[in-house]
Amino acid sequence: METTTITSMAPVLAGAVARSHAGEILQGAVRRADGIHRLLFSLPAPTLWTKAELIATPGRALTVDPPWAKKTLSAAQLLLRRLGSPEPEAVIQLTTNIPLAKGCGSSTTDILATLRAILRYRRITIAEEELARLIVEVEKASDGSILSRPAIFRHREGLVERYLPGPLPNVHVIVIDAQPSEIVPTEPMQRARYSEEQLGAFDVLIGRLTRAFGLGSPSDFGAVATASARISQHFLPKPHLEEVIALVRQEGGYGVGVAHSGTIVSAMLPPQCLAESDARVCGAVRELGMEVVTEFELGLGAQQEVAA
Amino acid sequence: MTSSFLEHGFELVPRPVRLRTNLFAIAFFLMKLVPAAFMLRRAKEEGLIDSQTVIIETSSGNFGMGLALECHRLGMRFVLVTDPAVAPVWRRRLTDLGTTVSMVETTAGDGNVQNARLARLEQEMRRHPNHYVPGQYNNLANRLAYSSVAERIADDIGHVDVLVAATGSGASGCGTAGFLRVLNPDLRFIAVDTHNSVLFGQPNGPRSLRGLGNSKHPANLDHTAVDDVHWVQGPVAFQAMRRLYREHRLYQGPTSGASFLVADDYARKHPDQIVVFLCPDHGERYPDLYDQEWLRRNGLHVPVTPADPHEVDSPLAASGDWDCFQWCRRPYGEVTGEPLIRPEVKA
Repeated sequence: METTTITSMAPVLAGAVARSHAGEILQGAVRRADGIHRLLFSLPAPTLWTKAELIATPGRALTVDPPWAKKTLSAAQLLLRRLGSPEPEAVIQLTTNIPLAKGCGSSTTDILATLRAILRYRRITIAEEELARLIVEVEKASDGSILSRPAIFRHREGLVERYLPGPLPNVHVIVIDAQPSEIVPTEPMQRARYSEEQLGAFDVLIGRLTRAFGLGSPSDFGAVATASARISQHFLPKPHLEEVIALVRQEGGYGVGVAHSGTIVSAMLPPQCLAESDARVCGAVRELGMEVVTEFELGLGAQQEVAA
Repeated sequence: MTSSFLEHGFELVPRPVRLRTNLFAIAFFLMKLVPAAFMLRRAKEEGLIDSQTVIIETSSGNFGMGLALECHRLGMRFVLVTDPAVAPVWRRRLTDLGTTVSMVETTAGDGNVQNARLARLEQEMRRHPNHYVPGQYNNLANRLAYSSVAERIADDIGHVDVLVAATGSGASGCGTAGFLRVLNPDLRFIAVDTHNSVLFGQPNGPRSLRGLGNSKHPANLDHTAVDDVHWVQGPVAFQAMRRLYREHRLYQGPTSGASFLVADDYARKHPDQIVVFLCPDHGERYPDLYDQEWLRRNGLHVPVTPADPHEVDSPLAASGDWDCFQWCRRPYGEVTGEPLIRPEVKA
């Protein structure tokens, strides 16, 4: 209680927000001349975010609140070292609404918000690709949320595989937790081992995703999500996935994405979809024992900014 | 996309062409360059070949040319076992690329020439101890190569209901259909064969349509991927090939003609479905088959093409100019009652 009072009165040195994602539209790997590369395209979730504030604590070393966010602290220290900056006497105060260990990239988003806050504090900008690689150093993986343009991202390398030729297609997304009582920690998870056929399949999904962005086509976007979700069933199966796919199809929706390291399932319906349509999908998934986490509109004309 | 025109000096990426609202051709100059490049790349990655390895293959068709081009690019020696059906012009094109053409003597018009070629292949393998035989019929990499073609289709065309492909090794059709089914598991794959080809249960015999069909069973043909089979006779395919050019400006080879015949018919009867067919090679190699007088002199001209395929209830009943059969993704043995004798697929 006392701490709260002190920090709330103490000066905020800098702050930044990072937005998260609701699982993946595409996750897999491709074979290139120099070997196999894992890659993904995450479904941006404008309603899920972390705010990081750097709050002065004179006389005390750099810390993080909550204190268990140790990787965030390591990432902050690494960035400061790279910048040749001394560590500020401050606490990194994290505020987030991202569900933990569900596959929404909460940890990466915390780090990203923190790094942005530090850069702002130091009044320095660095290329987002560089920021991505820094996160990979700390996290062993990252996602494309860092990038200001949609891109298929080599998440283990922190590199862009391919920028996509346009803005996100316009869709209404219902983010669902398919297993509310399950926690899927990212790190100890076995990496998917893809067959040669699956590696080839991801070439095809990349082709279709490129088309989706080139045309702004939500149906192509949704088709990729569903296909990738079905491949993911071999590695981290979601209960009732086919039922959710059928529900979405009945409402004229485009497809279903999943978190490849989590329990999240994202249903993609037409933009500004009918309230009844939305209610039917939400009601049906709740009957399957699932929870609705958040909903939002993506793409052209959608309200991207959410108060944070 | 796995490789570029810039690198290969020859297209690896096909040209998708819209013929009608729901009918698309995937036109290649030389489709077989796609698996040739992919198979050599994979063999290199797996340490199966080095710069001294002699590539040996038996082919009288486009796969030989694909390997010749790719071996030239990679600076590798290539021995092609082939038969006298290969035209002198084609042979010169191969030798100009440094290919050693190992020609068998037999002039048999039917499948027996394949045995002579296999015997010669064994000889060449003994002559060159450091060799690698890609083996288009049984090498899984041949099928896997078509992910790049499916990628192109997924990007340029999007949703596909039906794929029509001429079948010889089975790799292009089964590969492309398999990869497209990741996005649409209900995709209908129509295999195009010719009479007297054993692929779908016909007896082996002489065939006037080359570039598809087979006298042996290749491991790359997955019968359980096939929804329908069409058998098209050479003369009908040659007329369809000419029609593809006259109606749509696509100057392609006879297997493209056979596939166009089938795809065009299906697309007209199913206007709500997106139909895609593969055109494996360009027409330049076949001046005679475009020459109506030559076709007449050689008894390969049909004045009237059948308007519809004749549906048969068993592969053995296919005996017309153009027959079709609902294969329904069944194993070979279940359809024909005969065991399927063939090599294992080489992964």
